[in-house]
Amino acid sequence: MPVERAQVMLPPRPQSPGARIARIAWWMALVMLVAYIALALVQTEFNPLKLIAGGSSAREILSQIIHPDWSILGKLLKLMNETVEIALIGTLIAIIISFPLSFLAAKNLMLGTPLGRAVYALVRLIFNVLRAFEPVLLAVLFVLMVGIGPFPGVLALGLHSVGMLGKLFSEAIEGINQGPVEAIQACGGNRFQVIWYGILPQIAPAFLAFSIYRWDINIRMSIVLGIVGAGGIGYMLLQYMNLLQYSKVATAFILILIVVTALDYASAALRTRLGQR
Amino acid sequence: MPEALLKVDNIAHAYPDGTKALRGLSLAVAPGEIVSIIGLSGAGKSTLLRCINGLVRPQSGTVTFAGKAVAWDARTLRLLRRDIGMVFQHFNLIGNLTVLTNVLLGRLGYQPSWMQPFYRFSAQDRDIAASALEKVGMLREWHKRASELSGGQQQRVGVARALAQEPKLLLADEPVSSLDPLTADIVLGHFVEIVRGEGLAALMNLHTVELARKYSDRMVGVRDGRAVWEGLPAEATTGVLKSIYGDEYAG
Repeated sequence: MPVERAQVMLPPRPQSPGARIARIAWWMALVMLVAYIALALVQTEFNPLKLIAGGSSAREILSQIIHPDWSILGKLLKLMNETVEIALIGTLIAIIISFPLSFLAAKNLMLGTPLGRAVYALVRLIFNVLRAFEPVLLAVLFVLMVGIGPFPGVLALGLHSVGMLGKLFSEAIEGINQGPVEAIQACGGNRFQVIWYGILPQIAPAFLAFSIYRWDINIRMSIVLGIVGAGGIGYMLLQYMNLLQYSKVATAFILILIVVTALDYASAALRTRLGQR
Repeated sequence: MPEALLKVDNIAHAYPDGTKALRGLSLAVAPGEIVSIIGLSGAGKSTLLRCINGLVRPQSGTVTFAGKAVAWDARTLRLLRRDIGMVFQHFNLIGNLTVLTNVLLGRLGYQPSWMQPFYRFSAQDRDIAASALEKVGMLREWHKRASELSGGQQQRVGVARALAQEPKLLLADEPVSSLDPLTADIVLGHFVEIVRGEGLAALMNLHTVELARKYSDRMVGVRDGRAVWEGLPAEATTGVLKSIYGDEYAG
């Protein structure tokens, strides 16, 4: 027997007075976006046909690239190691600086007093400014200051990562469970004990995971930094390109691909383990 | 009646959002006495306990503990909190740390200063923690991470942490309301047994009248931030409970 169902009419959607204007604004925004995409296609000289035409002139390069020069592998491994080391030291410096600062940039610890709010705003601003500086730009600057080599790469990655890690760390602190904090206070714990025993154990896995991830990202970034003279395998890659030694470029590409992929997997696996704890 | 261990005198507190949690509440707890507080959610029970150990500072009224009025400087508060153990509704253990370390945190109030090496506790502290774990029947689990335990086990560890403080008074804020009824009865029964065995005093917020009747020497009914009734468990008649919980209370 079919179930009798009373017909239910949806009540009319409430219309706010600005709804009409909002709709027009939406349409205008959409039209402007489409127009801008069209303009961008023209101004970027977007033309797939060029790619096909260029293929034939690149035949000579391609013939070299499919024959990598393995005689330079030892030298490249050394440089790849330097790239990883640049990323490691840059990340470590960033951890050491951003760790204490991140507590000063956590809302739940700082917004209680006017001084706290001022410090919070200042540290947040520092993080935001540091994040805004792209590592490549910083590296150009540091190469001018301290000369070509791995050290400007370390400085560039370190400074930029302070902003990134500081933001992630402080957000992890903001996400803690307040219960254990209250428990430490109730035991007679002072401010330091609250941080060291109530907060730190809660955020340690997240801090470790963020740090590993940052190192992983910094390895990839430090390859690019080499191209502006900040050490590592990227610097050599640029040289081979300038000297039109494409079989050596190919060796470097393959090595970078293997190492970056392997480290990516390792970092992901480590972070998964930390997440499961 | 012996001199009270804890005296709460006419305390009032309103939260920044304007909620008046307490409106002039008074009560007293004698040494060795187990008092339970009953009342609706939002009646002010949790705020009351937090005013006693200074987690919340009442806007007026006084709290007197062991003959001394509670002052609000950091040092006095630290000494006060050391003498008052607290057990929480959601246990408030640190999940990433072991059972033993969680219990050792009860000793933090005794560590001389913040320059103490972190996560290092004296042999004496470890003895105290082990004996607290034994009392709650969790000694064998000392090496497990707190997050691996069941709710009932976590609250036992919460009790052990409070005991490790070697307190004079235990505050329990709905200690068993997040456990199933059977486990709740077992854990609370064990808690009360330990409190009596050690000759401690306890002030507990309880979420059911049944548990309060069964496990306390005296009951206090709180409604709208005031103590509206107090008496022996046997005196908590339906009429009395209606005056605490409202006319909808059905016995």
